[in-house]
Amino acid sequence: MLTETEEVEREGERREQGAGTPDHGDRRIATADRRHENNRQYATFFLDTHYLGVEVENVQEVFTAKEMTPVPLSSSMVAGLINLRGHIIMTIDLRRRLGFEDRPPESEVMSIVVRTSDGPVNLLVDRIGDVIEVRPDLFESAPATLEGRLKEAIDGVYKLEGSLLLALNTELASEVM
Amino acid sequence: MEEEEESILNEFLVECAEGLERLDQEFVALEQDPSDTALLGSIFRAVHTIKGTCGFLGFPKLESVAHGAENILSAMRDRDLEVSSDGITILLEAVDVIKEILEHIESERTEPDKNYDAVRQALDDFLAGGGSSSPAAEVSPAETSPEPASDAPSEEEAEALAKMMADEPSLQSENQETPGEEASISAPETSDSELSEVDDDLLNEFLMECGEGIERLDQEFVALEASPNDPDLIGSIFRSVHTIKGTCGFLGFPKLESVAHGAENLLSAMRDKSMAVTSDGISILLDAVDNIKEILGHIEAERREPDKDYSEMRQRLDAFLASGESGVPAASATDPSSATHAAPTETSAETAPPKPASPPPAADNKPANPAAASSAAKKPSIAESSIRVDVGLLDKLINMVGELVLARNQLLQQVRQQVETSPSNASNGTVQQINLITTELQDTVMKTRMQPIKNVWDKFPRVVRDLAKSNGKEINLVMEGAGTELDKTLLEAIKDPMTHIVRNAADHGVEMPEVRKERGKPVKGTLLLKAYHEGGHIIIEISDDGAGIAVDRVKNKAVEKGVLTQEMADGMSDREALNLIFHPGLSTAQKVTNVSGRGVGMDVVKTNIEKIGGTVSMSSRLGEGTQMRIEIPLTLAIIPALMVTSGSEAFAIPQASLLELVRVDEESRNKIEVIRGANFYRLRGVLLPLLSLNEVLGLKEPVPDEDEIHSSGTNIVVLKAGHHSFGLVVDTVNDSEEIVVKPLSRQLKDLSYLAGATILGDGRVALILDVMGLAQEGNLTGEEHHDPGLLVEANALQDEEHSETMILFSMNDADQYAILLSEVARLEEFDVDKIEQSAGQDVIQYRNELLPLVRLGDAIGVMTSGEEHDRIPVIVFSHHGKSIGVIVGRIIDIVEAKMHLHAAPSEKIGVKGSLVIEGKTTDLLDIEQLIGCVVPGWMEALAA
Repeated sequence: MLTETEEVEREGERREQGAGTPDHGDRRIATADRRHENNRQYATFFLDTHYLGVEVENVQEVFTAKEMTPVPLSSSMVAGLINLRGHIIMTIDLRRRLGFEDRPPESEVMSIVVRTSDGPVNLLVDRIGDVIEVRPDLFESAPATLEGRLKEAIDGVYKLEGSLLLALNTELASEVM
Repeated sequence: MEEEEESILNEFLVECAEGLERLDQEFVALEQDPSDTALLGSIFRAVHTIKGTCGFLGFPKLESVAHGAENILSAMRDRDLEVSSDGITILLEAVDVIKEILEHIESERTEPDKNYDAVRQALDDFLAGGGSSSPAAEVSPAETSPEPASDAPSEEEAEALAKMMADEPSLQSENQETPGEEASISAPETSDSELSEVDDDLLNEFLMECGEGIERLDQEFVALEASPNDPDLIGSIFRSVHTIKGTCGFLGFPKLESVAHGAENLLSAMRDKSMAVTSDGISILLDAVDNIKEILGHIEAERREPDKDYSEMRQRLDAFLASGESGVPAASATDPSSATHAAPTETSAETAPPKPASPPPAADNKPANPAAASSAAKKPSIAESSIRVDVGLLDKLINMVGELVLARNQLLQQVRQQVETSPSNASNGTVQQINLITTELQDTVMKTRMQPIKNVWDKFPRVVRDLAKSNGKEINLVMEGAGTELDKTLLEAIKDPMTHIVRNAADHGVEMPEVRKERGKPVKGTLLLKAYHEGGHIIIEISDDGAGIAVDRVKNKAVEKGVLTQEMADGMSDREALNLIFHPGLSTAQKVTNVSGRGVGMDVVKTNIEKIGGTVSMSSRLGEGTQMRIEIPLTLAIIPALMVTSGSEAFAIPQASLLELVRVDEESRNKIEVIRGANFYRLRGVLLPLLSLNEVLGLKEPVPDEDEIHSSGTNIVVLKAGHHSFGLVVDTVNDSEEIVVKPLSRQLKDLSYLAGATILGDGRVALILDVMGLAQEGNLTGEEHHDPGLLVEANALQDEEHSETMILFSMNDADQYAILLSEVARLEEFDVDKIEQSAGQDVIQYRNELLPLVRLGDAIGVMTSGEEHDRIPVIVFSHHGKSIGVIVGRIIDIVEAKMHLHAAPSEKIGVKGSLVIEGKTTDLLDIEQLIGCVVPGWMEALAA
């Protein structure tokens, strides 16, 4: 129903993203290229013991996860739907998406809404970290030994002092399998 | 610059597309009424516009074809050529070619490489052969190799002029006289307001077109003054003026035409650079435009030209043209009367830059046509009162209204709570007002997306005509309620299904003329399209007075194709049988034509219409005709829905598929029957299959302790999915609400039970159920309901204490037997006289096989009553693809019972034991053993 409307909305959102984010397919390459020119800013968060980040310009907003409506019969990665100021947004449990264990019950859950070519998507994470700036020379593509689901969804790794930052590709991570 | 060219091209394409859409229909109408000169005029205009414009844009092939068509039309208009069916056919072919070229231009930005000379030749030949005094002389030299505008402007101009002369032969010099034959033919007696409705439409359309053009003109002239050498700009101005000139001739406005023509001549001189674009030239042109506006204003108000004399404006234009550019500034500056005519209307005063020569006080102008002035004040002009808006913008608006509706719902909820606690709440009144305004706003905004169904219907006259022609039939297409409006999205969605139905009706429904005559019907068949509103739905009926559908043939076909068994077909009502038409893979057309009859159509029609929440049904009387009825909701964006709760989540069920609500109390719970795990409810004697929302969606059952009352009853929402209905068992039924359908993420589109989502009054998200999808999810798809049998696999006997479903039957009413349902393949009923003998064994033809029959009475040694009936019940058992039928007396019921099995009282063969069901002792039969007894070797044969 209403595909036209939807298209328009998406069009608008795409425009909002500005010129810096080319469409879908190219994005991974584009971000990788740019990375060598300047320092990049990442909004970081934690999943279990892992330190991950998404590029700041792809982040729409961050908040404490709210109640959501489950979608029966959908992939277990889909945590449900939320109402974000009148827009219905799909929520993905990033732990399940990336093949982590389920978080223990009663633990804190945060929401990061990222922009994708399919509209905004809400990602559930454990804890929010700082926004950090990383130097391009610290970047390295994903180690081959990384577990499949996780490896597929990240652009690569930044070797920070004392920790590794997994650079999440929002486009791929929002794709439910 | 390139961008600008692109926009001109796009504009051209849009214009052409609009014109072409109308053309098909108008041609067909013309064929029916060849004497309709207004119609001919309208067709001529559309073709002329295409021809005229493509010259500037440099599409010689397109121009050539359009020109050929125009020549024929022009001859028809001048009565040199009769409006014949052949003529129309050849013109329609030309229109098709034009469409083809335009499509190519749209996608490739160039003309196709194909050679269209043959088409042109055919048109010219037709004209030469058919017309008595063809205007070939003017035409033939120029058009064979037209040049793009940019290459040779002067040559092209000459050609354009030649064309104009050919088109409007009488206009060239007599600017005062009513333009002779042409105007009088096309608009008979326009001098008074006796315009027919069609003429009126035509006129309004003309006024609107002119209005749009003129608005632009002011602006473009000013731009031209700044950059006099911009050929695109001149081209655009020329086109606008040319359109006005061309059209008003047909509508019979000689004064308007005269002024426009003068201006056009001037512009054409400027365009080929035979005259420089000067400020004076533009001033005089602006004066002319003001005159045109004035006349148009009058026409709009009075439906006729003003009495005032405009000949002098024309003279000024001609004089300016004749004198090159030198003498004329004086004319515009000194001649006081011309200044009066040139008095700008309010609009031009705002948009046109002040010209010292022209603007006199507006008061001078007003008295000349007081009627125009006063009526203009009363209502906005047609051009002003309608605008083109991007659909995207409308969608956004609708989205926002959707938000507003949600916010309103939330507000109402809050206020209701407040009122409960403190009844003297003052804000209640305001809230009610917001409520009302929102509702009204919602209605109004929804209307912006509404379009008349005519937009889809317009192409049908052509479709029907072509089909009728190629089949040698005569069909009259009648359309009623073409103005009925529905949502644009829906309109798009019904386009293809409707086309299919109309084609089917024309192709198969209406008989050949001879047949019709034989049957005593009028030779000309009638195809009626009808659209109207009915209770929140749009009903579209497509009926023909043709042969109707032979129900028997449909049934035979269905049996032949293995869709049904003969028995099922026999037990089917006519109505049910007719609905088989929608079954995939059934087509009753005896011969497959290139249009329909491939049997892939009607099921697609049905699915497409159901996709948008509509239904389609058909009725037919053999020999009298067929009627299709399509029912679709008015709009999709905001729909009424029933809110239900299941598994502590809220769901919305679109009201459109809701039939009724049933609540089953604890006492009447036994009305819910269970057949092998599937629940049924006896609703007024009919078994309604039940689906539990909790089970289908795998939701958690609510904890029963908190609400004992709810859990003690069962809420059934009776829904219709296509032609079937089913009951959806939900935990709680809540209110009915207007909900805004929100699109879902692309990634969730695969879930068939999900139609979308909405936001509730409290801000939570609720899923909207897709009833069709839900039925599929619950395996309640179409055919299985016709199937009285139960497709179950043979299952081994389970734990003895378990509940089992079994079939109860009796042999002579005094006894009662049971068979485990899990052992049964299906239940059938056969005609007694269909039973045949084969090798001493009773058999019956069943599903293309011979089904051996066993009389249970003989096997267990009891009398069988009921054999005197025509039809006998048979329980069919299957083992590895082989079946055997057991004839029983009477099937009583299907029940679930605890397996409290008592040992068999005697050593009866084939009895597993006895149990008490519904207070009656019942023998549970061991069917394998029984069959083994009666037909020795059957089981063994299977094992081997």
